[in-house]
Amino acid sequence: MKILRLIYPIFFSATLFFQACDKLSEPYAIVRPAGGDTTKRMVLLEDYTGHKCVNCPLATINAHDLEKLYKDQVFVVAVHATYFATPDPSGDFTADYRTEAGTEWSNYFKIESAPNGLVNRTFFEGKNIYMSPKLWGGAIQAAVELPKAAIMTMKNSFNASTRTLTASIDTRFLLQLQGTFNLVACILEDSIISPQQNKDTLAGPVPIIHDYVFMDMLRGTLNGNWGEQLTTSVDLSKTYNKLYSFQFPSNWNSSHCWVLAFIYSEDNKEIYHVIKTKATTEPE
Amino acid sequence: MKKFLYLFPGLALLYLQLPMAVTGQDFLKNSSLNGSFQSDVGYYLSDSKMGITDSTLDGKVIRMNAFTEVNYSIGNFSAGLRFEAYLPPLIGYDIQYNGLGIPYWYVNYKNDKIEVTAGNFYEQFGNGQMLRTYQEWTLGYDNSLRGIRVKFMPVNGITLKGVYGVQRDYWVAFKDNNRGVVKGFDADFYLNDIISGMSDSRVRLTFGGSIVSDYQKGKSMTVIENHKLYELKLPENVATYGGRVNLNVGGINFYTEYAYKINDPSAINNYIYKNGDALFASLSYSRTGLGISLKAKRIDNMSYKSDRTVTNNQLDINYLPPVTTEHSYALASMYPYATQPNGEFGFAGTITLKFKKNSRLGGKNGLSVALNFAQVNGIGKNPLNDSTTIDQTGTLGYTAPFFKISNELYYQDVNLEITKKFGKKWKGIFTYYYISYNKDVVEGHNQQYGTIYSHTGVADMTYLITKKISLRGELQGLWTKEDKGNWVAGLLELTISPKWFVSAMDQWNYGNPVNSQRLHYYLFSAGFIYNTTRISLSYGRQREGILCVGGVCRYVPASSGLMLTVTSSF
Repeated sequence: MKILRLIYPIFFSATLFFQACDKLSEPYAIVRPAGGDTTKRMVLLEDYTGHKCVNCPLATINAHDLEKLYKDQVFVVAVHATYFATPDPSGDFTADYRTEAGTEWSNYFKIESAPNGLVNRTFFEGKNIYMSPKLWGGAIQAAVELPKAAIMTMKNSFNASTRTLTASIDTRFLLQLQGTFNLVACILEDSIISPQQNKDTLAGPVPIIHDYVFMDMLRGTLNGNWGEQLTTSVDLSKTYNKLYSFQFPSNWNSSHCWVLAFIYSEDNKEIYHVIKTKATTEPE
Repeated sequence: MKKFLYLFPGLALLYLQLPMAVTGQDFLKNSSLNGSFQSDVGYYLSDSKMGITDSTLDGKVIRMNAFTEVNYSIGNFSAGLRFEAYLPPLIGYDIQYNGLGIPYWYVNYKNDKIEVTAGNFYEQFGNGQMLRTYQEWTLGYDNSLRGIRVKFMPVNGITLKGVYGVQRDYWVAFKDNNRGVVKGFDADFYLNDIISGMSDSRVRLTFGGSIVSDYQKGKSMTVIENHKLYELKLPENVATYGGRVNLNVGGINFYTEYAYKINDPSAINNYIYKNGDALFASLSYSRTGLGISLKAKRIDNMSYKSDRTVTNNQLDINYLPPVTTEHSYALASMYPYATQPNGEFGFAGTITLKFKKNSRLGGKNGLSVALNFAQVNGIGKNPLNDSTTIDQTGTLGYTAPFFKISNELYYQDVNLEITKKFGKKWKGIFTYYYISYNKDVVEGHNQQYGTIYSHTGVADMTYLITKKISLRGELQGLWTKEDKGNWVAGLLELTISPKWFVSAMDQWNYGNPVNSQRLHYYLFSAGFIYNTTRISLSYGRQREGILCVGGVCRYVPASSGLMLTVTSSF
């Protein structure tokens, strides 16, 4: 009896202590209707990938699903970096899709493996700034609810004979943000066909998808790896204009190219707005 | 401030010991210092036949996993720490280990009634189905809890335990609730000690119970599954509870444990809300010359992690013990089984017979025979209704009648081992394995490989040249029509006790359907042992595969090069 007198209060206390047990009831989830809200924050998802990354094709499907579900509010750039993007001297993976900017970004954000992603270059759930594909949806959902930070417009003209692009980008801030803001303008190319390693039949043949179609591939920047300074003090009444000219290398298919531009805080690298337009008006 | 917090445990310990320190020799008499060290250094080489190029190695040709652990105790107090370095981690270990530091430290006080640990600790409730934290160096696995543990033994035969802390997540510091906070309570009752009339009884009875709760911040989250975006409700507190009984009568031992978990949507279970449960039972009997062991288990949706978004081997709160056996011979271990926390039904049985010397079957030197059988299938799952698919995100997932077993075979292993001495100089172990391995399920592929059926035979002979020198040889063969086809392997190992050994091994994939992949995986090793220090050096090829310990597995990629391992303890 002495023992029972001891045990009962212990179990009673323990039961109370662990009462915190959240039993949920239906509905457990709602399926979000497709479509973005362009009156709110625009979002850039950087998909760090590589042609030797077996998990990347599925992650890329995930990224493009998100782009479709948040149409016109979320944009994807596929950054080929880390050792998964390194070319082999021979064989299926001799192509080098790495870029100077992509390598520098992956080094800066300490991204050493793929697939990983950055969502507006902000932390989500407190761990690393980069995150696995499973977290992209949550991070994007958190980001798209934020107020719209700026309005950007872009006008591109392309001289087919010289293969020169001229991009004029206007930015007007809507929020009185503090600090220095930079503008980065990049070129993305779609529909590049080459082999990709793969481990999941949901994404295509395994272990190699020989005719894999790479989309949104970062090809380079128009104004350096970290862009150009826009302002050190945001003036809501001002429209900031930047003009860039760029000659396309011969191996880029200009009709498959896009210009993607984003503004970010120089202090913490957080992206506040993004815009994407076709580089040329040439038919594909 | 942070530095002070790190120093605090050490300073506290020092302060507590100070009064004793001044008593001179008594201080030293009651104290002890022990520790261990291991360093694994790999020098990797490119090997075009294995598809390893300079770019694959990415310049990181020298890699190291190393640790040093030191424990000091004095009287009722003890303290210790482990320093780890992964610079960078060996190929096949998670890159998130890259770095160095002290992931494990503790201070502990213990007397007859109470034990208190602050810092990191490893703990297990029952067989681990509700809580187990442990470290397994070869897997690169460590889920230790950092916090407080109290053990209380109020009377003889009763042990009460409480734990409260956060788990190790590689080198990621705990901040902003970036992973769950784990709390647990456990009680064990040894009736033979509690009830005086039972102290001398042949019947030994123990029972126990546990409850574990994980708090992970966040009442909702957004996930994308099957091209749809779900906004999920989340339980911030997920509890698991259960009980266990152990009954021993003479040579018979029966153990069973049941655990139940409330709704815990996670990346592992595809974010479904079904409750989970796990039942494990084992029955064994032994007497001279005979041992029988039977095991059964049923797991349904029992992955339990302190971060619901994690899918790899990290932040596991519980451990689901396997019924299958892991094999040590190179080819027999090619297809090991990994526990499937989303659902499995397993059975296993082992009969061990030992025939005495000079008996009819034992012959002049005796004979041992062990027959082992294990099989794991999926559990039978039914859809909730006509419009909901099994495992559909944001639903209860499925229904699963307790005794319904799926026809889908995950794993089957039938093996027979015969151990026989031939005179004073020769000893042989002969083993046959028939293994069916559902590669898609075990390795997590999507209907890609199907099931591999393999026959493996091993002959392991040891010849005692002198009392100190022995030569051991292995001849192995694996035959399968699936996967990479047939293999043969041979090993020669010379041991000069107690200090030296040298071995050469080759695994040849002569039956690979791809001609260029019919490779030899040779490995030359040598080692030196001096007291508690062991140094070994090996050179050769490591074939791609899966390494499992206790049903927890990691992928081992193909590699080639030199490996130096130094282990020591003091």
